[in-house]
Parts: sequence; structure tokens; C-alpha cells
Amino acid sequence: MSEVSLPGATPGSLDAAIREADASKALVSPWLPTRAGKVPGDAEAPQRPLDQGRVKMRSNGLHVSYGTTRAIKGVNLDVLTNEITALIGPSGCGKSTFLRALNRMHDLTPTARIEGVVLLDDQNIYSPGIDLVRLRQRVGMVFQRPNPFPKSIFENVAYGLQVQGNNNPRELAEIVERSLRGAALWDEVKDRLHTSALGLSGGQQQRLCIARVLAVAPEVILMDEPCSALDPIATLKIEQLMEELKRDYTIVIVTHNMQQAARVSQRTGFFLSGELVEIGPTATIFSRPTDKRTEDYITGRFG
Amino acid sequence: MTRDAFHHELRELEESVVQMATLVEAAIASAVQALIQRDIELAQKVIDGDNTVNELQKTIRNKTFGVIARQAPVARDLRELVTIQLAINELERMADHAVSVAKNAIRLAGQPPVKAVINLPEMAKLVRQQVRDAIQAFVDVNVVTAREICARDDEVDHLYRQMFEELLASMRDADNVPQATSLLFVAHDLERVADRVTNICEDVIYMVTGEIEELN
Repeated sequence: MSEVSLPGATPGSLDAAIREADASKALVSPWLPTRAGKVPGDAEAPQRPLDQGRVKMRSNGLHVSYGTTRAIKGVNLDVLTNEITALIGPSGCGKSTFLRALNRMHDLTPTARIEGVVLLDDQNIYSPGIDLVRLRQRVGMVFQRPNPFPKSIFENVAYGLQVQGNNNPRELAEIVERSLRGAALWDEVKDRLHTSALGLSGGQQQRLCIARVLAVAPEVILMDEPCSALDPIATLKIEQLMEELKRDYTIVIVTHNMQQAARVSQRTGFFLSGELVEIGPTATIFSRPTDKRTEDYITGRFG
Repeated sequence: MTRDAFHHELRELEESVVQMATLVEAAIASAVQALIQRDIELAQKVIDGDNTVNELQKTIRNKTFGVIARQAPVARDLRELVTIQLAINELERMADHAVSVAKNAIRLAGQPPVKAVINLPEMAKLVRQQVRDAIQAFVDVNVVTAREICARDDEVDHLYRQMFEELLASMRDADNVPQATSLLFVAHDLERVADRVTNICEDVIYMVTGEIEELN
């Protein structure tokens, strides 16, 4: 039996008070474990096969380039119906570029080149002959900064319908109210529908932009960092709203805020350098991701 | 956006767990030594020292909750913090077993040792090595070692059964019954420590892989 020695000073972070108060009583053996470099975990979760019937949008081998810069490199990703899919990753990883490819926003950028396929239901949105107005009505977009038109609240929501040629006042009023209710804004603005939208707070303006998207009855709503210009209360309201919207719509959100992705989404995809590193159920991504790069990013070891 | 301050806190918590484990391992060593050498003073030190272990457990628990509340940890960080909470509970109970051995050491002091006690040092040695190795596996984040330690639990069980039979046999002489009973408790305490080592190894496996495994 080895000799048991009384306490020597052992390095570490015991509360000093405890150490001093109890050092006389403590029995510390000469043994201390050595600290070798940590080795990465060997966790391997098999990718869950997708239920084909639930896929609302799918990208197949999607490449996006700006000039000679390849921003998205062969991404295969499924967006499931009535779910919130969150896309995370460091700045410049391609997550916003990917999001914009889902309703052909890159068509407005002359240097942008798209290869691959993006399916909405069974239709490739990059096929020739696709009606872009119809596509963007089915796949709506909410941007980082609320961008209401310098018009009244009512006109902002009704605008998309009027562009479609709907000028029936009673129908417009109905849809405006339903959309504002859907965006959890009705009670706050119902008495000032004909005042300028620019008089609303940032959070209200963002919900107005969501109402504007809802008015044209979309199937998919894309959100590009919709809360990054909002305070925490307004952020919480948008998050609650998303939870309600997903019953009727399919949502894809790009967010810098990992906790937001963890709170609101059912599935999370991690982008890095234009590639989709990993996508899976949000609870899995934030508790036991498969790829070490995902783990290192979400635990704040790089980024 | 690396989270250096958070990871520094995590490292400090790891150090505290190691510190607690060294105290517990030493307490087991001292308790068995006190029993064998009939050293009442050493046994009393083990009993008095238990408070330090309990206080350390409280401190680590509070700090862990604080880190979880403030830092919203995810993935392997979250699993490590959960593992720390589970492991310090096991360590605290191990220290209680050491106290139980020390109390029996005081009870037995002054009596001539019965033959079966000779297996105790061997059993204590195995158990202490298991405690050390389990904490080493935690520090190294080593699943292979953790599984291997659990596999070694059979040796301790075997020694325990052997001592159990011998002590039972010695009880045929009625004079031996009080002492043999105390020694049975001691052997049982050591056997329980080894079981708790298995629990820590399972926690380490969870920490690394995210899989909950039932070993032994």
C-alpha cells in the first residue's frame, strides 16, 4: 500500500476559500492524471432518409458563381413542408446566396451563374418558361432590413394583389386584414391603416413586410436574417409568428444567431465555404452533430 | 467568434473534477490503509475530510449550472457539462463509501485481523486504479479506455465474491461474526465504488459519442 501524503499544492481552480479552509483536512494523493491533447469524438450518426412526400423544395447539385467566384458548390438540400429550416454558418459561407437561389433572386445580378436544379414541388424553377412573378409569389422573401414602401400600411399589404390585377375593394380589405392578422400586426395598426408605414417601429415594419408576403398567398417564405435589425422583444415576436406561420407555410431562414436557429427551426443546415457540411434535425445538430466542423462552429471553436 | 472565456470556464470545471477525484481516490486509499494498519487517526482524517469533498461537489455543481445558464452551451460542451454533473455525484458517493470503510476501520481497531483481510489490499488497489483510469479517460476524452475500464470490473467482482465466501466460512466460529460482518461491509463498499466507476465511464462515453450506453 502506498504511503498517503498530506496535501501538497495541486494546480487547479478549487475555490481558494475551500482550499484554504480545508487543506489541513484534505488527503491528496501524489497521483494526478496527465492531460494529453484532446482527441475528437468518434460520434457517427447515420443520415436519416427523407420522407419524399414531405419535400417542398429540393436543390440538386446547385452551383452559384459570381464571375469567377464560386459561392455555392454543389449543394443538395431538401426543405420539408410545414417546417422551419434554418441555415447557419460563418459570414461568407454561402447561406444567403443559397437562400436567394430558391426564388431566383440572382437573376437580377448580371454576373451570377447558376447550375443545377431547384425543385419547387416537382417543377425545376430554373426551367425555361418559368413565370418569375408567379414563382416569387409562391416563394416569398423577407429581408434583413424591413423595407416597407413609402406608402400607407394598407397600400403596402395590398400592393402585390394590385400588381396581380386585383382591384376589388372589398376583397382587398379582406385580404389585408387577414394578412395583417396572420403577421400578428392587426391589433396594433387596425386604427391607422391609412397612415404611412414608415411611422411603424422596426419590429412592426418587419411584420408588415411579412404581411405583404402573406397577402399573395405564398407556399414558401424565405427569411434572410429577418431579426438582425430588431430588438430582443421584436425578435421574440417574429419568432413566435414563425412558429404560427409554419402550420400553413414552409419557411427557410438564414440566421447569424445560432440560438435563434436552435429555438425556432425543426431542421438546421450548416454551410461552410459554399458547401453544405451537414443538415439534420435541429436537436441533433445542437446536441450531437455528425461533422466535426459543425461541432467546432456551433461550440464557438472557430468562426 | 470563438468562445474563449466560456471554454476557459469549462477547462476550470474539468480541473475541479480532477481535483475532486484525487481527493476521493486518496480517501479510499487512506481508509483501507487505516483498516489494515489499525490506524484510528488516519481513519478519522478520512471521515473529517469528507466535508471537503461535499463542499467541492456543491461548488462544481453551482458553477456548472451557472455556466449552462449564462453560456447556452451546445453539442459536446453541453454533453461535457452534463457529464460533469453526473460524475461528481458518483465521486461524492465514492467518498461516502470511503467514510464507511474508515468507520469500520475504527470499529475493528484493536482486534487481531482475521485471515480474509489479506485480499482487501488487492481489491483496494484494483478499485483505486479504476478510479484513476476513469478520470484519465474523462480528461483524455477517451472512449476506448472507458470501455476497457468497465470490462475490468469483473476482476473486482471476482475478488468480492471470493472474500464473501471466505468471510462467510469464518463466521462458523461465532467469535468471528462481528469482525467478519464489518469486513463484509468494507468489501461491499469497495465493490460499490467499482460500480460507480462504471457509471462514470458510461458518462464519458456519452460525453464523447452522444450515445447512452449501458455497460456491465
